[in-house]
Amino acid sequence: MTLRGGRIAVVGLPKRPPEIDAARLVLYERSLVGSLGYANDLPRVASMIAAAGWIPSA
Amino acid sequence: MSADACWRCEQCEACLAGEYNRCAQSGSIGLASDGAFAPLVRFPAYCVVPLAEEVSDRAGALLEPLAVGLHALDRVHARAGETVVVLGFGPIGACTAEVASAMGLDVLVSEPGPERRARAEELGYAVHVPEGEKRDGHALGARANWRRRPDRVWTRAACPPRSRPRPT
Repeated sequence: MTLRGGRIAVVGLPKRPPEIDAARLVLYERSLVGSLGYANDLPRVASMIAAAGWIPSA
Repeated sequence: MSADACWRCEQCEACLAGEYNRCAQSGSIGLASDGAFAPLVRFPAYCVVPLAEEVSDRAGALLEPLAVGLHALDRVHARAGETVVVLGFGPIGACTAEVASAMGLDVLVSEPGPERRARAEELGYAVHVPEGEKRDGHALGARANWRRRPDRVWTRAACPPRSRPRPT
């Protein structure tokens, strides 16, 4: 799914355990990591918005 | 001001390291306690996030989901100029794409739903229609005529609206 050495972050909570092709992780040296919420990231986002005049459209 | 939705013990090893999202006692306002769809909500003082005048109330209301996206991008060490694929353009996926774009990443969105896909296109993202769970990046890249394969993939799996387990 990514280039060799690419990294994949999983943020959602799947309804059922997904299939993981471990061989592809190994052969392409990909990394699969979980990401739980955030820690101290709200002030960072606020700073990004304030500094760049960025207006999120999501 | 805005508010961090995570309450925590502030005493465990994770909290003391600043990684309170891993606190075994952590919970989210709205999930583990009454939520913020009420006119007034009470939360711990440590949750307060002051906002500069340049940050609108509208943007301030989006800080929490945007922070989720920023954290996910940090987890994959995303850097400006790289390509990231966001699988799913729900609220969190959309916020992640917005943060990634603001960071200078090249964002590709894969979304099966036509309405969400249209929204992604409206916001200017390159979009892809996934054809099935078994498709992989080789076919994905070829079909979309992408110049190169993504460096990072961020995925937002579908989750039920309720019965979300508390972090342990």
